Amino acid sequence: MNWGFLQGLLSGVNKYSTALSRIWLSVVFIFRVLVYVVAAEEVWDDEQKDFVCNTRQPGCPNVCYDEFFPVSHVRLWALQLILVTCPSLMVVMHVAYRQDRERRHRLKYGPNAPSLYNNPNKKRGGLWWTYLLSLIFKAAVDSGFLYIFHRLYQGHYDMPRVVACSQAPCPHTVDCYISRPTEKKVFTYFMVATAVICILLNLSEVTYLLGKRCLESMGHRRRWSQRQSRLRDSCPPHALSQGEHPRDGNSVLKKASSVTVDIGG
Amino acid sequence: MSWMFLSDLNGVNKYSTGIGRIWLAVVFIFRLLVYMVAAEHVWKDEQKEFECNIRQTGCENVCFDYFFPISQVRLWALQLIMVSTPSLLVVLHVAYREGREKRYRKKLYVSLGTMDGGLWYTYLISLIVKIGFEIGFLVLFYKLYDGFSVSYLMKCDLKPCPNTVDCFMSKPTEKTIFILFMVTTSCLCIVLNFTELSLLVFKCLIKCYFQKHSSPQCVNSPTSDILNVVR
Repeated sequence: MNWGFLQGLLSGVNKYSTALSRIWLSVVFIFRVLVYVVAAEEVWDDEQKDFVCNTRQPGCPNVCYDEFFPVSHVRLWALQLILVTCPSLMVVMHVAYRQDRERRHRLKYGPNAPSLYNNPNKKRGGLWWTYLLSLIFKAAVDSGFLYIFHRLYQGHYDMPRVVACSQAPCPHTVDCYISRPTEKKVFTYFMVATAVICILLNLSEVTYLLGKRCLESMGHRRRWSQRQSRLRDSCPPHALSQGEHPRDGNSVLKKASSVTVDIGG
Repeated sequence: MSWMFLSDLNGVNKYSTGIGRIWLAVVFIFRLLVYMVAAEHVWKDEQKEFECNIRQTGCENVCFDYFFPISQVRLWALQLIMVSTPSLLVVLHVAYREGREKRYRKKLYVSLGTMDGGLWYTYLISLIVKIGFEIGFLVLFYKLYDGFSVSYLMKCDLKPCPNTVDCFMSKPTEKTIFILFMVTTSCLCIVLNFTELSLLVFKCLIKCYFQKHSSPQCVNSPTSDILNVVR
C-alpha cells in the first residue's frame, strides 16, 4: 500500500498548523502510519490462511473466520488513517481558495487594490471555522473508529487464542485457532493508545483555539467600548451615527475585512 | 515501505555534533539498511515454517504464539522508530527558534543551530531518551526470548497439544547471527550516545568554569547576553 502520496499532501499542511497540530501530524505519521506499514500489515498478512479449525469439514474455517472478523483489523485501520488525515486537506483547500480569490481580485481591480485578506494564511474568519471543524471531525473519526473496533469484534480490543464456533456447515462447536494472537493484541493496543493520544491532542487544540478567540474578543470589546467613550468626547454626533471613525477613512474593503474578523468570532 | 521518512532525519545532521553524525550513519547503514535488506527476509515466513511434531490442529498456532508473543523483526522496527524519533525534537526546537525570530523580526540567537541555552537541554534530553529506549528494548528482547540466540528445537505442552511436542524453528543459525548483529549495533549506538552526552556535559562545565574565572567584562559578553535572551 502506497502511503507516500499522503505524506506528500500533508507535509504542506504543516505551514497552516499550530504547534499542537504539528505534534498531532508527527504522531500520526510516525506512530500510526509508519507502524502500520512496517509492522501491522505484516502481522495480519496470512491471517486467514493461518486461521485453523479443529475439523476437516470444508467451509467451516471460512465461515468461522468470517463470523469473527467481518472486517479485518488492518483494513479498518487503513480506513481510519485515511479519514483522519483528510480534514487537514480541507484547511489547505480553503487557503488555496483564498489565494485564488485574492489573485482574481487583483486581476479585476489592479495590483494596487487593497487586499481582501490581511494575510490569506492566517486563521481569521472562515478559515478559523474550517480549522475548528476539521479538528472536531478528526476527533470524531478517531472516536467513531475506536467504538467500531470495540463493538465489531467479540474480544473487543483483545485477541483470544482460541474461539468456539458453531456456524453451519461446522458439524458441532469446533475450536478455531487464531494465528499470532498476542502480537495482534500488542499492536491493537498500540493503535488504540495512539488514537486516544490523537483525540486528546485534537480536543486540547479545540480548547486552545476557543479560549484564544474568547480572550481576543473580550479584549476587543474592552478596546471598542474605550474607543466609543473617547469618541463621544471628541467626535461630532453625525460621524458616530455613520459608524465610522474619522481616522479610518472610507476604505470599504478594510472595513469588510475587520467586520469579517468580528463575525468570525 | 515508508522508511524513507526517516531520511528527513538527514536534516538532523545540520544540528548534530560530530559523534551525533556518526550515530546517524550507524543507524542508517548498519541498522536500517540491514533491517530492510536482510532481516525482514530472514523472518519472512516464520510462522509457515514453524513445525511441530504433531497433527493436532491448533497446536502449532498456540506454540508459536507462546514462543514469539511479538516477532523479533517487529520489535526491531519499533526500536528503530523509537530511537530515531528523539532527534526530531532537536529539529522541532530549531524550527521553534526560527519561528520566534520571524515573529520578533530581530536576531535573537547567535545562529539557529548553535548548541546553547534551551537547545542544549533539548539535545541532552534527546540523547538521554535515545539511550533509555535502546537499553529498554535490549532488556525487553532479552526477557522475551530468554537470551539473544534462537535454538532449533523448542518443547511445547500447551493445550490443545495432547503432550509435550517438539517444535522446530526455521533458519535458527541465520536468525541468531542477525540478532547478535543487531544487538552489537545497538550497544555501539548506546556507547556513541553516552560518549556524546559526556562530551556535551564536559564542554559545558569547562565553558562555565572559564567564564566564571575570566575577567568581569566577560560576564556581559554577547554570548552571555544571548544566552540570557534565549533562557
